Amino acid sequence: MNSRNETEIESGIYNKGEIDLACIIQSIKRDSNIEEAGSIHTFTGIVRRSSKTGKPVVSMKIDAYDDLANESIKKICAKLKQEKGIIDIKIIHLKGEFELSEDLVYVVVASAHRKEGFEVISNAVDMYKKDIAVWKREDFKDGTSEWIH
Amino acid sequence: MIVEVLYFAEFKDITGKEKEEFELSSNQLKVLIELLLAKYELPLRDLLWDENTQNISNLISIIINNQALLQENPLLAQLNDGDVIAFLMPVSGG
Repeated sequence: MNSRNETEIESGIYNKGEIDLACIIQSIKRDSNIEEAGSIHTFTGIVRRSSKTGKPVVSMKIDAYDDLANESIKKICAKLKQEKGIIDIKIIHLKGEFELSEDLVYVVVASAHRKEGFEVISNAVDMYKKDIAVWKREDFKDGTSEWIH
Repeated sequence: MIVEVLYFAEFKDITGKEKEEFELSSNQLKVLIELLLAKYELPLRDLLWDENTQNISNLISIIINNQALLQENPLLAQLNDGDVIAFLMPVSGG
């Protein structure tokens, strides 16, 4: 992971353990326009211990169609980077097997002012949940599993 | 001709594979669907096939060579040797 501290982090799909939030923030701080930013906003999606219907969850699996998901993530980032006051944005979605509370996804936005940063990070989450070829399977305490759609 | 099928999510669980090659006797997608349903039977049929319309379920997006197939009757889609095909359920990011 140390080698990633020195390199540009591209938005996209990564295997669990391949990348962390600190690396992404460091990468975004190396953006050539970062001095125009007054804030960096982060969103981290993690594994919740209950499903939407309240069923106890013990673990989660994330699968992805990397080619399609990477393309969609790059389009989302390119679109949102056009918004006023947005300096840079990165969306990193992890895949693999996850325990409760482990990180699943990071969105990091550098913005000139906080207001547009909060707005764009919220839009980015809505967009990736709807548009990228990623699927999650909740594994329940009772031994059953379900892919969520 | 030979095509490759990529499996994701439920499809990966059912087949136990990430991808698989199929040799087709004709170039219609229908032939590939018949092979898939014969090989993986009920679990795959429940996911992929709509008994009412006798067609691929409208929940499924069909991707050929990383492009969405937009055709009124997907069973009639023409495949080419070396095509890579995926059947995708609605997405659910983390």
